[in-house]
Amino acid sequence: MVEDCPTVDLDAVVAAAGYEKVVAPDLAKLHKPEGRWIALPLQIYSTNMLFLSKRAMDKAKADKIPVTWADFNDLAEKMKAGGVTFPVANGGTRADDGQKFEASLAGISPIAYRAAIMNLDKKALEGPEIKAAFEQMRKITNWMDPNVGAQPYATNLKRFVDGDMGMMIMGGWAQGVLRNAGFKFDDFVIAPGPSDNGKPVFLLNADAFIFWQRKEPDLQAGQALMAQLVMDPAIQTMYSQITGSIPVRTDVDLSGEGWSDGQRRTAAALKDAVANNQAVLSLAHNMAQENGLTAAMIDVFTEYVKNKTITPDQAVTRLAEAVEGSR
Amino acid sequence: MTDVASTATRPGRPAISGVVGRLPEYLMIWVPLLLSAAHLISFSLWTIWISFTPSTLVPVSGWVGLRNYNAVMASRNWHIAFDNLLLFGTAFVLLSLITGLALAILLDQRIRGENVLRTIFLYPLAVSFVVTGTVWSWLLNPGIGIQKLVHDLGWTSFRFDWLVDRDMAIWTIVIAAIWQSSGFAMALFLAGLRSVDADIIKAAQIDGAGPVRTYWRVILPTLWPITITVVVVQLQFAISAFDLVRALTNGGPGIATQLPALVVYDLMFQRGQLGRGAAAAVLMLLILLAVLLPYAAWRYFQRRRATHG
Repeated sequence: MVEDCPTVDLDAVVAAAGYEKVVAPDLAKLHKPEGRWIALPLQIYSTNMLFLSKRAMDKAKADKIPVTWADFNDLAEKMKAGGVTFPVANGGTRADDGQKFEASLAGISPIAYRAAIMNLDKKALEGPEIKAAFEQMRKITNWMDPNVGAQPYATNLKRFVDGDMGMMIMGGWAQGVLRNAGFKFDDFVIAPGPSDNGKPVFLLNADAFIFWQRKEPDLQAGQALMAQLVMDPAIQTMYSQITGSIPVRTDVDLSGEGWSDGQRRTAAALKDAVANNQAVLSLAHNMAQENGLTAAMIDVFTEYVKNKTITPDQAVTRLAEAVEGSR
Repeated sequence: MTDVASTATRPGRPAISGVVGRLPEYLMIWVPLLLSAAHLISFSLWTIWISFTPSTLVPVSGWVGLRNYNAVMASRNWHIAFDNLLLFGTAFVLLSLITGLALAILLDQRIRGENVLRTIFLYPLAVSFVVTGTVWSWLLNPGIGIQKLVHDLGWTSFRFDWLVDRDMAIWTIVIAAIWQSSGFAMALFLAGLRSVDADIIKAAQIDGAGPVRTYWRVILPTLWPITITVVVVQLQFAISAFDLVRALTNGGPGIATQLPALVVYDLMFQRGQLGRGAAAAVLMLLILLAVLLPYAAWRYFQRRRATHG
């Protein structure tokens, strides 16, 4: 695709700013499709962060943050028993449904996720981990509110804070939405999503600016300035503190005021996940695959969420077919 | 065109000043008409060309024959969208016709407050489809809207969860679309009812026909041309329906309420498959032509019969 899309070569700007040293290697690779920088990432999210409602935790008489999917399932049962109507808070969008799958699979086995979803390995796509992920996903959907239509997750944030809904699997952007809706940090806890091997799994979703070639000198000057700003630690700090993401620069200090515990945990999770080779790219947010394949797979997930008569075995077959059909 | 021209020419005017005097009218009509025709035709041709190329994220030249068409027609999304279009198109056109006609007949009874009622029924037409879709998505959401209201009033076994029911969700789009556009049908029918010659109605009454019989045998048969206009306008809306569905269900639950226009958008802008999206758009154009060509032919023969006796 790149040869058709005339993009600006940003190598010189990036080198001048010494930016490459402070960006996670996987993320750098993603923005250098042919070995040259064509886009600059601004902020990072993990799409499988676990948001816990304090009031729902009180209802369940629980105070431990779940680490594995077994812990998560236990807590959901306790919440249900304690009077939380829907232990999992959800929306009805395609991305929402896709996130339920990617969080399940990556939490069960990041290795299987990498092989099946990122590398489209045929054997891995029909492997036992995929079936296990669909089984976990079915448990999650049974704890969700089916009455969502096409509404986004944010519709249910008040019910989540009120403890009518318990846990939300969402990216850090939900912190920005919660804060701007007037809720307090005491209302919820943010922790890395469930991971069966106990070490955090990071489902990477980065927002980036791509730079298209322009002939006009004033626009070129503007692009140079824009590139400087995107890489600037002060800009990244200001931006992430508003949105709830973490900065792309690994040298930004998150200990100060203005950062939440959730953001610090997210940054720590990224570090751990990179060290353990457990940082993978999000499918639901268009990072892991090209658009056509992503959409075909999300078709399968969204139907699976909305149609409980589909069995995990059928879903595995459908996923493999969807991948085969759009290659 | 001829209507406009004939009302402007007054008898006795010299020919030259007539042409000059009508110049603003010609400019007013022909310039926008030519511009929009050129726009429409050039973009249609461009889309048709793209549908035969291997274009993905950006348009590229090349020739792949019918590959894009085969891919679209083999896809599950398109099958669901096409079945939904048949159901939605038929149900929406018939029901909006019946609703519009019923409202028109009721309003035709020379009742008090007719102007107010007429405005109320016509008002939804002034609201954009996105607004209609969003409002109905709240009303029909079982956890927030009508179902919850009835539950809170005490009838807790009441169920109205079509929005989240895969088999019934398409009917929520029918409901919202009828709410939006039956006022349009009503307005046209009302105009038709009012233009029926009062003498004919009186003659029918003198012959002893009751109100039902008068409507059924005397008035309604004169409404055929209006009915056909309403059907054609509503059908082309049904085929190209996009914003309403996008706001109301966005093709969900799952992909149960896909419609062709959503598939086109999805292919072009979500999946980055311009060639396939263009092929789906051309297929939509063919469906539209299947509706519009018979209508144009019917109009043509009507006019011929009128002029040649």
